[in-house]
Amino acid sequence: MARTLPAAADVRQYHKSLSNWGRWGKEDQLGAMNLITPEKRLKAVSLVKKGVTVTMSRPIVAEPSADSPVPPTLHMIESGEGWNTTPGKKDQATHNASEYIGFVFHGYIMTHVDALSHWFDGDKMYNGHPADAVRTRGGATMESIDLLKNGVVTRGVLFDFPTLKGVDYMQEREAIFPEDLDAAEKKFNVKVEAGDLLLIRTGNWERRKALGPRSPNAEGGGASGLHAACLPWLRERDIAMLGGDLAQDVIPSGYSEFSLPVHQVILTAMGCWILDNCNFEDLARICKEENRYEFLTVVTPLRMANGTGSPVNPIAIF
Amino acid sequence: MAKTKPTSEEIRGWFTSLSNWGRWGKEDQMGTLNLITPEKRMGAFGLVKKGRSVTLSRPIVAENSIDARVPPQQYTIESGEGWESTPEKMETTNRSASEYIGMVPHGFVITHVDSLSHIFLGGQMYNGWPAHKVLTRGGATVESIDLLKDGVITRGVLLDMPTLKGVDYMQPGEALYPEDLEAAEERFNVKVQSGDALFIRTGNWERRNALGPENPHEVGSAGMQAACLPWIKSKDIALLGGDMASNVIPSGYEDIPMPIHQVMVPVMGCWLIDNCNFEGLAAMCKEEGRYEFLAIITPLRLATATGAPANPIAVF
Repeated sequence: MARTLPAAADVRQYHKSLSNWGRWGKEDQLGAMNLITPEKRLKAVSLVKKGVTVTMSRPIVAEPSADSPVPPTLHMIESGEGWNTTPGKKDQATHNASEYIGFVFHGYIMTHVDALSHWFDGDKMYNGHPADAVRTRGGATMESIDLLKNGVVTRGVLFDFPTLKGVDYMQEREAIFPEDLDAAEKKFNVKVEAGDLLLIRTGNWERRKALGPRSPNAEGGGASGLHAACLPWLRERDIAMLGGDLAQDVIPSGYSEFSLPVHQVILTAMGCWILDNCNFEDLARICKEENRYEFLTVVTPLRMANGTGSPVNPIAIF
Repeated sequence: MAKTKPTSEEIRGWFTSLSNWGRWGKEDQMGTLNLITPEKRMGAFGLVKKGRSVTLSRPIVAENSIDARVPPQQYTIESGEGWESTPEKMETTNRSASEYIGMVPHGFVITHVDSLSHIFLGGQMYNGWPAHKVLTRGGATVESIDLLKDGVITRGVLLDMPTLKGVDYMQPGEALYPEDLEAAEERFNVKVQSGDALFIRTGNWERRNALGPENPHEVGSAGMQAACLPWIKSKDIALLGGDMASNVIPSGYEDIPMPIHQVMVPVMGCWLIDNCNFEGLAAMCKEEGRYEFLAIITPLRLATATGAPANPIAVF
């Protein structure tokens, strides 16, 4: 099929034509989360038949790597070493170990949620709230991750592209187009619906495990992901959240003026929340075993009061 | 009924008599989470009738306070300020804000899960693993929080002690005894069962909201007296959550400052959630007229950590 790619001007136009600004009132900060109603949650819970649960998070490892230029920190405050042999320690009433942890969770390594305050279109966030409501001192005073404090509980749908394509993982720079999304729906016998958490597996995590880490911004490198052409499709399906096993976007995007157009349009125009850097290895296996690609998903970001996102351990339940 | 305080010697006896060491094999690191079976989870899902969910977490605020000796940090890397007035910014293709966050999850302010590697009995962790498996360089190589990677999903039960007692919150140093837990079961028409996540509300968080932060080591905090330990063991819960440290502070034992922590974690192998916020949960239990619900806890996948911050939720 001949494929027509949107021009930069078309992507620019998506900011307006795909916009959800004003749809839930002009003060709204929740965006597409409004689509998750109690009924939607109950329907999602009814997908649980076995009581089997699986993580969609990568492990958080305190190691620098090509794709983790600001690695997570794990700094022991008190370890368990020397308790047996250190008289002062041995006699203490409370024996415990603890640590300091620290991270820049945005980037390409940690599984995290992007709050709507993470991205700007010009000087505005979703729904026209001003970018400067994200303060240098004080953080995101609007559209903070803490809006999700009660958790995201909804139906999850996995599009397993490596399985669809018969490969272990997609290639760097390989793009997914709307036709591919339609093909995935057909192959996995599932229709994406309003309020869903749509999860796009490209195999980026498995590729990293097989070939080692590489920065998606490396010379000649990149990442597989959605082409900007998918944006009208995503808007039409009215998803509440989009999850991927790297940055959602194919890298490079193909547009010099938009480094991550999927991020940009989804967050700022559609008000749709994003789950980056997932690990769908176990989820893909269970979907195959169970032969179904819809399930209950639960995402509970940390309650960072003024955060532009949060590290998270999302789970799927069958 | 007279509420009896066990002696320090009796508590030491519990180090053996309430032990779960070896119960799930001598290599086991999961402890009481073994009690959560797929059937248990399915039973918990059966409690979801309305599709309403509520957080059990306190907000994480980067501020100093008397109970946050090591306050959480939030360091802005890029904010949203000045975008409209900085031409280079308006032209960049990467228009985003981000921050560094850092914290010591253990302590008295952040809602967090204690791994079994957090507390040692002598030189050992739960099931006899040596304390030195928690490395200074490398962290918890056994009994790490990452064992909970697939999440904890089970039936949650709230024992709402301030409501039982007809107060807004309990007083610092006020202790709960097994008789109180039984009275709560009766009052709230709920029985604690094997594999449950048991949540005990004392109102410590609401007290903090009303009166401001206090140092629990100085003024004390409400919680369970050590006498509750055999009761808890007999119920065979999988996880215990409190709105501070679960222990009454001071414990009343000079040699055992945190008997609930010290017996539950290394002896019983029971995972703890500290510093919850039960304000929204208590309101929802009251509205719904039930004190059992689906509980979901998904700690961060810190590969080798003695615990992790978490945002547990209850679903009705």
